[in-house]
Amino acid sequence: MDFRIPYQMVKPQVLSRKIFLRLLSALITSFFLWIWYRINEYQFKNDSQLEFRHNDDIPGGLSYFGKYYLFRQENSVTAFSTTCTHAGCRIGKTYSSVLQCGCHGSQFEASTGIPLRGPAYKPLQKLDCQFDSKSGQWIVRM
Amino acid sequence: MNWHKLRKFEFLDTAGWIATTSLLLCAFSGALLAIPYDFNRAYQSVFELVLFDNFGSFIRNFHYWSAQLLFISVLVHFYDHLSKSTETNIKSKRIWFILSLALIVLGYEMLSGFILKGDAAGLQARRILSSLLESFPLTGNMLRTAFAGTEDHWLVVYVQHIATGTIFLLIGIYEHVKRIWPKLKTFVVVSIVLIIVSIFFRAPLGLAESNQLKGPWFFVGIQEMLHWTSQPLYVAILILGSFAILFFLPKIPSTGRKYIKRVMFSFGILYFLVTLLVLIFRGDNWQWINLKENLSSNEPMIIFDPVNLLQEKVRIPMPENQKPESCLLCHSKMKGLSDSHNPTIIGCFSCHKGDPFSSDKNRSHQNMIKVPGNFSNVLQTCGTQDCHQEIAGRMLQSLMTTQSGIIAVDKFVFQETKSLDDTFHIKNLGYSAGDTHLRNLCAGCHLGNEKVNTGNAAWLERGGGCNACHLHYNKEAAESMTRMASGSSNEREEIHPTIDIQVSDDRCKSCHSRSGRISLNYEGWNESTVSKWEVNDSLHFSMLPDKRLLEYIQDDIHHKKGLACIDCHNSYEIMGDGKHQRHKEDAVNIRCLDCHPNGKPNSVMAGTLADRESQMITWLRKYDPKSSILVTQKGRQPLLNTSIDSIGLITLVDKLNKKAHLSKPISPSCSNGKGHDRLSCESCHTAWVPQCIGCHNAYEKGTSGFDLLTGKATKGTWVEYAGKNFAEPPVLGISEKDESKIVTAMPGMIMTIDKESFEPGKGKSFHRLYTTASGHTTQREVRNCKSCHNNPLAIGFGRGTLDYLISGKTGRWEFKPQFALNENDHLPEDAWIGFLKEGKSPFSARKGLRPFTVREQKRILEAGSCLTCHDDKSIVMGNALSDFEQTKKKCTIHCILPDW
Repeated sequence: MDFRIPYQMVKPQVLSRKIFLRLLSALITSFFLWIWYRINEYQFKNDSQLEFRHNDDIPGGLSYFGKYYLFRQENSVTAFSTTCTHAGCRIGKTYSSVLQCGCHGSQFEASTGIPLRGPAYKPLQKLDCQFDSKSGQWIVRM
Repeated sequence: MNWHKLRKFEFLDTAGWIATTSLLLCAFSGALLAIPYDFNRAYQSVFELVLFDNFGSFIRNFHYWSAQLLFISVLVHFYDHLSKSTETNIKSKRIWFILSLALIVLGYEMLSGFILKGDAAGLQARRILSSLLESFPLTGNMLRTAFAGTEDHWLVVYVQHIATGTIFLLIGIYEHVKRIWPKLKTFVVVSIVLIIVSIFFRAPLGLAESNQLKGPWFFVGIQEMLHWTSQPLYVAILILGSFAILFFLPKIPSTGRKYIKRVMFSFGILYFLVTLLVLIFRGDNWQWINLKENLSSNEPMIIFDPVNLLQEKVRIPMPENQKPESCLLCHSKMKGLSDSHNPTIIGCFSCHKGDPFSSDKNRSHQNMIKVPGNFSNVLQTCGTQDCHQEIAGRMLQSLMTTQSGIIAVDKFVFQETKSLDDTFHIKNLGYSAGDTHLRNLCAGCHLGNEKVNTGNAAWLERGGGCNACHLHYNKEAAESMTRMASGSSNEREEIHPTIDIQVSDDRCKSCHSRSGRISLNYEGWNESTVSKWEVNDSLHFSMLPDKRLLEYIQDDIHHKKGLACIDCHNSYEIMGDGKHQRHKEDAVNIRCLDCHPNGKPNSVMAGTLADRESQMITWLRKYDPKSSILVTQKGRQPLLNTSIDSIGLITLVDKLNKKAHLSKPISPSCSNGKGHDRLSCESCHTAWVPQCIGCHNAYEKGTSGFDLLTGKATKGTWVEYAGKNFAEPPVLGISEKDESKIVTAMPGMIMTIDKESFEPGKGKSFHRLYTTASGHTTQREVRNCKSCHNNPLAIGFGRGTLDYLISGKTGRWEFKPQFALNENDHLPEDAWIGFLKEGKSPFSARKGLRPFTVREQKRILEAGSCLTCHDDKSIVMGNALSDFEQTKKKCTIHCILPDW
C-alpha cells in the first residue's frame, strides 16, 4: 500500500500576515473605542446628577446662579438652564427681565425662557425644581 | 500683485521651518508655563502670573507670540505650496492625511490655548467648542468629552493641549520632512524676534466676567457665521468640509484643482475681511459698535506693557474672594464705599476702568474713567449688564436727560414746531433761534451734562449722569479729595465718596429752582424781585448761590412733616420708566389720592411685585411677601416706603430720616355734594404758586454769553428780561386730558420774543400761554369759596376788582383790571382770558389745558353772586354745593342772581 500523501493535495488555507494585522488593528481600535464609549458614558452620567438647594427666601423675579437661574412669581419658582440653546454659551449674568447671550446676541424672556431674538430659536431648558416641605427648600436638579 | 513674493520669507528660511521653530519654542515655553499654571484655578493662576511674576509673565507672552507665529507661518506655508501646485509632490496618502489632520489639530491647539487662560471669553470658547463637537450625529457626546471635557473639569483640555496636540504636530512634522531641528540661524533669529515682542507686548487676558466674547482673532469669522445661523452644525460641517477638500485635493485633476484653489483663496480673503470687520466693529453681546467704542474696549487685542525682567515684584497675598484686579494692590485700604459697592467684591475696574492686569501705575491708570456715571461712560460703568443696566437704559430716555418738554414748548413759541407734544433730545439741538435760546438759557439742566470735577457739585454745576443724585462727599471724603488733589496724600488710605440712594432735596434744587420753581415752593421760598439791598431780614429772606433773592411765603405741609422729594417721587418717575415722555406731568404717576384715598387704598402684595428693581429692594429689606404696599393708580408703580395694615391705614416711612408718618384718607367734606366733583385736590389745597408776567426775550449780538450745552463762551446771547413776580393762589382751568377736571394753572409764558434781533425779517411775537401748575405748596387748610368764585385771578381774568353790582331786581358782575391792557391782544397783562369772553387758542403750553369757557365763567360767578350774601359755611351754600339747581329754586325775593 502506498501511504504517501498525494502531491496534488490542497494546502489548508491560512490567514495572510497582512489580513491578520489589519484585523488585529481593527480589533484594538474597536477595543479602545469601546473603552472611550464607556468612559464617556460614565462621565455623562456623573455630570447630569447635580442638585442645588435654596431656602424659600428667593426674591421675586430673576435670581442668577451661574449654571441656572430661578424665576419667582408669587409662590411658584421655575428653574431654567443658562446654557444658550444656540451654541452652548452661558447666558450672561443679569437682573433684568431679558437674558442676553454675549456670544452671538440671542435674547430670552426670563419668565418663560422663550427666545426673543435669534440666532437661538429653541427655548431655554426648563429644569426640575421642586419645593421640599421637610427642609423648606427649593431643590433644583440638572 | 504677485502673491508669490510671500515666499520671500526665504530670506531667512521657509515658512515651514519658521513654523517648526515656532512650534519648538512654543512647546518649550509651554513646558515652563506648566510650572505656575494651575488648571483647577486657571484664571486666578494666570492673573497672579501676570501681576506678580515678571519672568512668568514673559514666558506666557513668549508662549502666546510663538503660537501666533506658528499659526501664521503654517498658513503661509500651505499657501506657498498650493500656489506652486507642489502639493502633488507628497505621494504618500498617509502623510497627506496626517498633514491635513495637523491643520485641524493646530486649530484645536490654538483654541484650547485660548480656553486655558480661563477668562470669560475662554470659558465661553470652551462651551462653543463643546457645543460644536456635540452637534455631530452619533459621536457628538464622545467627541465633546474627549476634546472639550466637561463644564467643571479642565484636565481633559489641558492634557490634550500640552500632550496630544503637541506630540501629534511634532510627529506630523517628522513624517513630513524627516527631521525636526531647524537651522541654527533660523532658531536664533526667530527666538530673538519673539523675545523682543514678548518683552514689550503682553499676551491678552480678558476679564473674569465680560459681555465681550469674541474669542481668539482667528475664530471671530466663525463666530460671525454662528451669529447668522441657528444651526451651529452647519458651521461645523463647513469647517470639516474645508479640511476634507484639502485632503482630496491632490486626487483632483489639475484643471479642477486650480478652480478649487481659486475658490478656497477667495473664501480665505473673505474670511480675513470678515475677521477684520468683527474685530473692529463688534462689541458687547455681539452688537455693532463704532471705532471709538472699540478703542475704549475693555479687552484690547494688542497691549503695550513692557515686562521689566530686572525688577522683582513683591507678591501680595490676595484673598480668595477678592476680585482679581491690580488696582487693589495700591488701593485696598480705600475706605468710604458702602457694602453695595464694596471694592473687594466689585473691584475698581467695574466703575473706573483702566488696566486691571498691570501693576505699573501709569499703565494701570491708562484710559481710566475719573468720573464714572457720566452718560458718556454710563453703559460701560454703572449701566453694565450685571449692574444697573435696566435703570441706565431708562435714564437715557428720561425727561431729565432729554429735556423734551422744555424744548418742545420753546420751539413751539419760536414757531419751529407745530405741536407741543413733539419729542426732542437736548443733544440734537441745532442753532436756530429757538435752539440758541435754549442753549443760552435752558440747556444746562440735563443729566447728560458732564461732571468733570471731583467733589460735591457746585450750585451751577448741573448734570453728571448718575452722580447728579447718587455721589455724596461727606466732610472726610471732601478733605481726602483736597489732599489727593494737592498731592499731599497717602493715596492708599484715602476716603472714597459714597454712592448711595439717600438723595437729599438739595440735589433737586439746582435745576428745579427754575421755571415752576417747585423745589423752592416746597420749602416755602418764592423768588423775589425786591433788591437785595432793600432787605435786612434773614428769617424771611434768603439768597441762592446764584444771587437770586428768596422770600419766605409758606412751605408745603409734606415739607413741614419732614418728607423729601424722593419720598413721593420714586425711581420710575425720576429716572424714567423707559418711555419717551413728553412733559413732566406725564412722567409723574403719584397723585394725592394715592396716599390719601377716598376709600380703600390701591395696594399690591410685596411678593407679587412685577419689576426687578422693586423685587430686589423688598428682598434686601426683608419685606414680608404677604405685606401690602401702596401702589399708584396711574402707572401702577409701587411706593416701597409705604405699608398698609389690616384695616387699611397707610404708613409712609421717609427715606432720609426713617420716620414713620401716618397718611390719612381725604376729609369727608372733599367728597360732599356733586358741585365740586370735578375739582382736583390741588385746586383747593395749593396755597400759592409763583406767577410772573411781562417777560421779554431778545438776542443781544454784542453781549457775551454762554452755550450751556457745549460749555463754551459765545459772542451774542439771548437775554431774558423778567417782569413782575407774585406768590398767590393759582389760577384755575380745565384739563381735557384728565377727565375735564378743574386743575391749577399759572402763567407759563406771558412774554414777547424779539426774533428780529436774532434774524432780520423774523419779527416779534407775543405769547399768552398758561401752563399746569404743580404748586408743591399743599396745605391742610383749603382756600375758601370766595377765593375762587369771587376772585378774578382764580377764574382767569387777572388781578383787579370784581364786584357784583345790584340795581333794582337785576345783578351784574363788573371787573376792573389792575394791569393795563397789553397792546398785542388787548387783555390785561396778567389775564388768561378776557372778562366773560372766550379764550383764544393756543391757550396754554400744554395740550388739553384750557381756561374756563364763558358758560363756565357764568356758572362760577353765579355761585359767586350767592356768596356776596351767604357765608361759605352757611346752610344755603352747603345745599348749593350738593345741588345748585335745587337750591336756586328755593331763592327768595331777596336773592338777585346775575342777569347775563
